[in-house]
Amino acid sequence: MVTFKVILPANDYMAVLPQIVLVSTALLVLMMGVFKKLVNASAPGFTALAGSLLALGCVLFVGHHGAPSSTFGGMVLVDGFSFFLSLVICIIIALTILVSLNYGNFFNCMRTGEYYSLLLMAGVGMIFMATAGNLILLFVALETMSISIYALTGFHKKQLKSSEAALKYFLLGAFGSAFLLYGFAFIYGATGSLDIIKIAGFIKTHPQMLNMKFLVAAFVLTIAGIGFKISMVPFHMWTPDTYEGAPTSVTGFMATGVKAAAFAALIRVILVPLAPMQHSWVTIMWIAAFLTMTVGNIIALVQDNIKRMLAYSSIAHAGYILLGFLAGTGLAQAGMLYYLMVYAFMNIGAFGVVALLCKKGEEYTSISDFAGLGFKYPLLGLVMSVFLFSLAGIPPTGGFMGKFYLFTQALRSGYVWLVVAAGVNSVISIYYYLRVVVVMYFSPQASENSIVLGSVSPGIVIALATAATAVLVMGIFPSYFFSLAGNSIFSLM
Amino acid sequence: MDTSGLNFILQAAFWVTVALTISGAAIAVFPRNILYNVLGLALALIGVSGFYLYLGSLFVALMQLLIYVGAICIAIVFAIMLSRPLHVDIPPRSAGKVWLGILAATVFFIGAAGVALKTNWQAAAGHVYKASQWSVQNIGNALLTRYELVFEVISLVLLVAIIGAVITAGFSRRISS
Amino acid sequence: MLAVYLPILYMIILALLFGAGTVFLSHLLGPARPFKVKTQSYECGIPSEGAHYAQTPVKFYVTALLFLVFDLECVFLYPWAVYYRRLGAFGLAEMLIFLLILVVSYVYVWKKGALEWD
Repeated sequence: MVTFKVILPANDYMAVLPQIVLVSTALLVLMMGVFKKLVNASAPGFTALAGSLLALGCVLFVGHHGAPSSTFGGMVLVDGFSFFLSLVICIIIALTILVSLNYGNFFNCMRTGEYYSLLLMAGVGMIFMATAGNLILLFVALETMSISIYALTGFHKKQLKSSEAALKYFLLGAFGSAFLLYGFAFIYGATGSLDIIKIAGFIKTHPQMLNMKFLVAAFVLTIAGIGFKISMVPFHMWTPDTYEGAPTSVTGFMATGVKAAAFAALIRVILVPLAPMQHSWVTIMWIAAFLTMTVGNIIALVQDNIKRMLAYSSIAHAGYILLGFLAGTGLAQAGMLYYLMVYAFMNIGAFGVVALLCKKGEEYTSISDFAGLGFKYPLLGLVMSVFLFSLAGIPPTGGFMGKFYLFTQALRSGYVWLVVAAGVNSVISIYYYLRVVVVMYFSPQASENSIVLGSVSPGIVIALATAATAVLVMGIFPSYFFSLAGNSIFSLM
Repeated sequence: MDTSGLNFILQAAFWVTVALTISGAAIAVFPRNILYNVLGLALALIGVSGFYLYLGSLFVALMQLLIYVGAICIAIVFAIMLSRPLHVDIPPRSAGKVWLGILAATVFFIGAAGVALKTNWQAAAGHVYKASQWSVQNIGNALLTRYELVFEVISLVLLVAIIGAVITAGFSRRISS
Repeated sequence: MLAVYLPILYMIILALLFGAGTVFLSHLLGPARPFKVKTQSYECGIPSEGAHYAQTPVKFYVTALLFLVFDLECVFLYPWAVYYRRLGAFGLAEMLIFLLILVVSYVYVWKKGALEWD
């Protein structure tokens, strides 16, 4: 006779409530997708939307009060940083689902249960990446996110470009994961722990560690692994092809969610615990940030496909955010968080507009397709202009304030030349963002190839309106969001 | 058997494992027939599982055999079988790529070996090595208590992988038809 | 400590010797009288035709991948199974959640038709 005794560990399940909600919804949606006879064809999408909004509600409901703590034996960190990024990621998921609901009217494969299920599961991975206090959980979460995104990238079943994109992303991404895991092994070898807090404590109490080449090797490998995910030069090769080939709704998700989660991991694993060894990474990261901004912006100048252009622009934006990484102060970290939030809104918005401009089974992705759009559909043109102005960093948008914070913090930490380079880059970038606006408003409309809006569901209107409003509000009233970000930084006591 | 004889056998077996791994890795890289490469990979992975025994973890060694040798190599063989016949005309290796590969591997090897050799290895404070620490029971205990969250997230990884596999396969079927 | 694995080593050596020995012995002892028909590849007695290589359907690959994933699941069942009495009801609950997620994936695979051969 076996007698079970109930040992319930004192874990704070509220801390992972959003993830639990998302996983449950994902499983439900997946089952809805295969039992087609029992449910409506559009049910998976709307259930996924409800689940993501519920998760968003959970994040806000649980919130974060009081001192940072950890639960599940140090596996999950409960602090403002977790709260902020969970919030951003839940918003990204909800907006992506709203965009996808409309996109699915053009492409039937985007209405299936597994599409929404993978989307939610990737979101779970992202949230765990941002909240993980242990390198093993962080890695497993990264894999959950990555594998989902690989599958989502290849979702355009009839387009070879989509499968090429998925293959490229998969091969390079797997390579990046291997680097990251090797780096984690080095960190474990150097510090004897996988807990981020313990790693930081060990490095603080053993300053002689900092001269060890071992730790430098750990840093290099880890940054290479995360660099793949944030498309830092020289690990950016996959970005344009993958962004172009993936379904546009997924591209928006990939550009914002993956980047937010990967930057969160960068802050959690490297920036804060390894802060004492900053002197040994300054040069290498300086070069990386400079190249990331410059390569992204220069190549974006000559792109005719809007998805490729936005892909190179996302590389450039990763470079701007790396300025905050280099500056390394608490305020700089707040600048990074603020930027990630603005970036999420403006990029999902821009990709959302691209995802709206489709006809059955086909996308308009050439910039010349946008000719005359501004007069034909004034509201759409206006919204797109807001996103592009924000991406270019023109006031009064959130993109401007984000750049302003990041550049100021980098200046304060003494990176004058890098900030000058970033400024020049921003000026260059105005050219290609405004080129789209110019085409929308000042180009005569090519009559035979004009865009006719097919399906505009209320969902995407809400998504675009929310994103545009958020971009403007964050630009006009930045102090609230900046203080929210400032209260959410990850720091050690 | 006296200890010195035993030690000799264990030493010899260690170097046999090393030889097995390196020769397997060489077979995985050099022959032009991709099936030989897979078999070489399997051999190298068997050798690696031997190293896990020397490092004191029977469980990891067994899992290495079960997953890498037993499942992943099989999956690779299937992947080769569904690709186009590669052995019909094998293009010659381009010398530039070979040298580039050698260069990259050398740099990485020197870097890793240099770091490993230069490090002053010390046992972490308070860590006493006990074989029982790595018993399957202890792993089960750790997996379901301290690492319970990881454990559940792993099931998500598996789920996502299954969905990905089914979607990818469905995709290629449509292209070919 | 490693000495416990010595029988495995002996076993491997014995197996290798047996395999190599039989091949060598049959080569040594067996008469070798090849002629043209005899050296052809054997295909159920019918004269073989066409290329010996055929592209396999993707079905096989899906099966291999599903095998891989469910094989991995066993890896996690094993440490739980040897310790489940002491893990108690909480461990059982965790394992049930783990299995629930995998059962969902199993139902998905089944309903998708990935287990059907046609």
